[in-house]
Amino acid sequence: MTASAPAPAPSAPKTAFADAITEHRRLIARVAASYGRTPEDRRDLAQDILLQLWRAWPRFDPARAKLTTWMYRIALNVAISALRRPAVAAAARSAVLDDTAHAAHAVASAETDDDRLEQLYSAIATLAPLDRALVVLHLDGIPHARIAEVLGLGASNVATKLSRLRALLRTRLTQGEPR
Amino acid sequence: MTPPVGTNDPDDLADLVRTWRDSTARLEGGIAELAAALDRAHERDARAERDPARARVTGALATVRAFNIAQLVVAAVVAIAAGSFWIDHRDEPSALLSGLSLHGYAIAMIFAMARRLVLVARVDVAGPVLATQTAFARVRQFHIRSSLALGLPWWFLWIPCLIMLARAVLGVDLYARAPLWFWLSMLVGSVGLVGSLALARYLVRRAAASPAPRWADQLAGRSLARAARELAELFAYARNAT
Repeated sequence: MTASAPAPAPSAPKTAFADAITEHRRLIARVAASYGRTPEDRRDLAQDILLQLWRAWPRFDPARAKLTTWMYRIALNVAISALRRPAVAAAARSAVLDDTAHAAHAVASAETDDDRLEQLYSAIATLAPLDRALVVLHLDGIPHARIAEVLGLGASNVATKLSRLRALLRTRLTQGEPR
Repeated sequence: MTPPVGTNDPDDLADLVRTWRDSTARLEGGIAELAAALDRAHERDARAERDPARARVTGALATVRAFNIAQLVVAAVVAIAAGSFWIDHRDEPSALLSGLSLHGYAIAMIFAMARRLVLVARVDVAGPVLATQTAFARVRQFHIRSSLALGLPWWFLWIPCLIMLARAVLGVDLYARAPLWFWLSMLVGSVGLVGSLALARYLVRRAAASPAPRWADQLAGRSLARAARELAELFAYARNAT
């Protein structure tokens, strides 16, 4: 599912964007799934993240950060901000999606029907926004040093927090603790 | 980029983590399709030597920035006008004090708008999450604080505005002509100020956990307290205190 038209753009590396997103689409999907409570929330959040990545793409500098670090940072910043400003996020989303209605609908159809998974999402949703980011990166198998880089924390700080969060998550999953 | 399950997670979560990593397939398909659609939109625009789609996404932020700049320009014009007014009327106490109060207000507004622009410019959405969220929190806190500081004085500020207008347009010293009107207006302003604060506190208390109107939240100080708490939490998070 890459971009179709081959004509090179004078400014941004356009087709590279679709390629990058396609390669790392799981990253966006997992962040959206962890911060959105309902399938609709997750769909909206995935769109918001994608739009922000698209907007920032011309300024992406591989010398400053790895692509996935850059994507995680934007995805998590959008997700955490959307928790606080849902109306603003919705307005920005509607500004551009008219042109891409069909693809937006494809994102809309995505949802999960696994009870255990919903339990995991619910347990994650009880965490504070930054703790949630830590857990998402950890569950994605990102090493502590990279997590520290994405979040802007010290590596030892990451290890300490993760140790506490793992225990907390395990307890909540065992007890089936509601939100 | 995804390592095998179990490299980094507790044993009893391994199964669930595997499911988690496989769970978003449908969402992923939609994301890839939308990314390609955005690219196609961009290419179509690039061929036409324009980029309205990307411009629309950046539009919201650009509007906020443009609004702040417009307020800054208005404040600068008011500062110049009020400054020249009180300089021209140094021998008339009511005109002098009116001009000085509006001049001071305009300078405060210039400072506030400039500070807002600086704080917004410091937000880098591609920066480390903690730094970006702290920058966002600083923007929110200053926005609320400056909105209160610039909004509440208008319960009184309209009085010197009227005095200046009457003096400049009609050549009339409103305070000398109608001192009772002046003091009554000050009383109305005081009652209005206290009343709006009391109403906001009442609405916020009645709303309890559900959201009160934004203006009430701000006037009652709840938004400011929330913004301050948010910043404190971010600082504590960075220090490993939470």
